[in-house]
Amino acid sequence: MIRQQYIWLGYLLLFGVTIPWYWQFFPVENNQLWLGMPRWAASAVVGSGLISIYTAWLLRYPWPDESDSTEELP
Amino acid sequence: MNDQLIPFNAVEFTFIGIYLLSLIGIGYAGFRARQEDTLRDFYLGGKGAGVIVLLLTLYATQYSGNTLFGFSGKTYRDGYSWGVSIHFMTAIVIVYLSFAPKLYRLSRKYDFVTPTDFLSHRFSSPALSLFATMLMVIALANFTLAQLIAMGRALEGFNPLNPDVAYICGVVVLALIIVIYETLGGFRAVAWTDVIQGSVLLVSFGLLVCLMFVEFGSLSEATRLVAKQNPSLTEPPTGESIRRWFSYIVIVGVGAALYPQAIQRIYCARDSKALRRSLTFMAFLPLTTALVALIVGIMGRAHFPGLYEAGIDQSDTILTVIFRHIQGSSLLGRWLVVVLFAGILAAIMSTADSMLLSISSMVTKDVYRQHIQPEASEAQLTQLGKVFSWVLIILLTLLAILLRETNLVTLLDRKLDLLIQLAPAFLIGTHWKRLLAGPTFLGIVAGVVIAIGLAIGSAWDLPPTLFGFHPGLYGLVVNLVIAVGGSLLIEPNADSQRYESPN
Repeated sequence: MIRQQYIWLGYLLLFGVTIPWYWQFFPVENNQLWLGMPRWAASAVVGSGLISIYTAWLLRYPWPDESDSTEELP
Repeated sequence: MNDQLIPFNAVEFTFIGIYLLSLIGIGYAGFRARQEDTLRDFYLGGKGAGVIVLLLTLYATQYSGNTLFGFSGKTYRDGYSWGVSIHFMTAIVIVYLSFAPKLYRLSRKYDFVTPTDFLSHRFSSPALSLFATMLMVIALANFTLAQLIAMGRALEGFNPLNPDVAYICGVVVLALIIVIYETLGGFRAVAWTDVIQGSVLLVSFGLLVCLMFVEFGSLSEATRLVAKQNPSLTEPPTGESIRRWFSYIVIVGVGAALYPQAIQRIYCARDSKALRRSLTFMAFLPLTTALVALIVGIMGRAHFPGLYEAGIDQSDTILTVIFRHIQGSSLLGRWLVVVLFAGILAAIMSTADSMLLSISSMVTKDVYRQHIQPEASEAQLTQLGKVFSWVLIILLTLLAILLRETNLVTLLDRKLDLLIQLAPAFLIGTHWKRLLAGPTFLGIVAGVVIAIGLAIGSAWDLPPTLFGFHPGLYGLVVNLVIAVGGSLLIEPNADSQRYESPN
């Protein structure tokens, strides 16, 4: 299993790139389109797809109780 | 809706009628499949749901009528910046990932039925449990009411009757169908109908996006038309709108993962493998739903401008306008709209039935049994839950009819601002031993007071944000400081030690 902090660091990086906060600093002509959308919007959609793939990849790993039925509580 | 639609004819209504009656049939099948007269069997379906049922019930519950009408309308108004909807729907699955594995294990070991069961077990604080229950019931009742109103409005446009009569008939008939199958088969009926409704919804979204391209051409062309009308709709978000983007991801990602009916779907998984696999598929569904609504909104804005101008806001009717266009194109178009209409009903009803069942379970188990009649048997409580569902649906139906012309539901629609205040209790409470009941309770109360206070203070403006952030987020920050800071400041005593190794 991957260490918890690396999982969340991965999400932080992905959302950091996917949320279009930095596109305002690059003048983009509206007629420059990717996938029929403005480039910043297309990158947000593609980034969302990457986040979904990353999530699905993390969910490949069995959860603790699938191999061990012992229980601990907070 | 509006009077632009071509009303359904008898054959088309018969198709919809058969679809609705089949839901009651499924409810009856759920009734026949019951194994015992217990709360767990009625509210969680006994041994639990497998991957397909779990996936489709999560999907149908999570995506409501708002996804179709609200998201497409919002895109019509705001343009591509509503792409945030794809992000926040994905964020819900990520939040599940953070607490669902542990919560699922606890629910199996301690037989949780309601979200409050976890809170009672974790914090042993009647005050915290009762307050959290009230918060969840209020948020869900409000959302259920919004779904009932949406049902009436959905039928208005397609019904040849007078719109007022059509609205009332829509609310009453659909509410009646929901409460019949819900009280017949409990969770099984809701989950099994969700399988049908989720499938219809998936097909509808697929059909809708195909029709968009067939009827209106490419997305590139639509984007250029929108940019020509109003360049700001295609420009990247800046300043406050970027803060709002972040705020939406947190408020919806966390708040919607804490919907009581969603938490109960974690409990109801057959095993953790089924839950894990369902969430794997769920991670991709925003691309089949929120993205479709975004495309519909952009196409609508490009080809049907004028619904959102000075003094006019009919942007939420864009889907209806598009339906009217498709209906008029051919006989096939008419029938496609019938299927899409079934998808709309599926989206609304599947959300409403899950919330009704969830409210019923919390009132029965967490309020009645906990505070009024601790000696009540499981069979008595199950019966009471059914009676309560009928009482609640009658009350909400009356409210839906009375409040039709007001925007009160919109004004009260702060459910996520409220629900997110439970985040420390669930998200941190499942992982951190030191989190104490007292500070957690005080944090929730402070968070709710701040969220409601700020929302009232901002005159309930839409979008309901202050400097780009939702009122609930300000409350959550204070809530977290009190809950975590208070727990760190207070020395663990015998009571808190008890949480570390309970039976």
